[in-house]
Amino acid sequence: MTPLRALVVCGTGMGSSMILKIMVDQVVTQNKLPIVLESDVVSAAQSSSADFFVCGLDLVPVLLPLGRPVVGIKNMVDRREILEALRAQLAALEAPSSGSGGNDRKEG
Amino acid sequence: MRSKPVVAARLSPDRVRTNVYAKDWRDVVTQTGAFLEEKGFVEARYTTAMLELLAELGPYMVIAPGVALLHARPGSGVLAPGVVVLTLAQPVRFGHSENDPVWLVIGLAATDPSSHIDALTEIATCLAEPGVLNSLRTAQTPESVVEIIRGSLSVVTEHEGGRI
Repeated sequence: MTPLRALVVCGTGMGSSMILKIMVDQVVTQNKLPIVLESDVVSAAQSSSADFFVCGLDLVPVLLPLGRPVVGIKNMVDRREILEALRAQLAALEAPSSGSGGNDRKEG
Repeated sequence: MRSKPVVAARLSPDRVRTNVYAKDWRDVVTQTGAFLEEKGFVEARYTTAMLELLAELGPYMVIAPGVALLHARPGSGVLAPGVVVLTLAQPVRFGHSENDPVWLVIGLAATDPSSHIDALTEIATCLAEPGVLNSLRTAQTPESVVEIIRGSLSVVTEHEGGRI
């Protein structure tokens, strides 16, 4: 399956988005999720080609108007929350098109 | 890959303040900025930049329940990369939809994204360790805060090696 592209978004691209990207990176790697990650500032989100955005909860309203799915993370250092949110997003994005096999939605 | 802890090596008790009184989130940001300035990491305008960023984008710097990672852009008067830590005597509301009130503040001065990623990796990994936040919440002295953070990072280093 083609990996999905996720953009981790923050106000400055320096602090909290880095923390979030580091944690999301760890979760993606450890769980072998089919996601390719990038990170950038809010103002760059519009021109990004990402399939969905990942950000702290309070940036969700800023990103929603861009018309792409937004995964809002409450606790950026909680690997379990991040994993569950990413799995839910993957399932949501795959469900409509993936007709044949390869459905690995194994909930723990 | 990388094995030498960056934050643990640099974080000394003189970069930590415990039981700090602050009347509101602006006061927290101002005191954090003044602390960073006092340690030679930033110029005074860094504080203004942090306040402006929060006013512009909302309290997105509250990265976890009770935890704020305060920072501005590297061009906003950063002199040297550095981290300071404050615990608040009375938790303060930043206006975050879920993670208020804040009792732990990490003040970050970054010169550029790549040079500071090691420090951020450590902060994230440290805070993600089970029990660390609970221990920090009850820490009464800068020395014990430093000890908890160093302890959590040595555990991480042993368990995960240079994987990150």
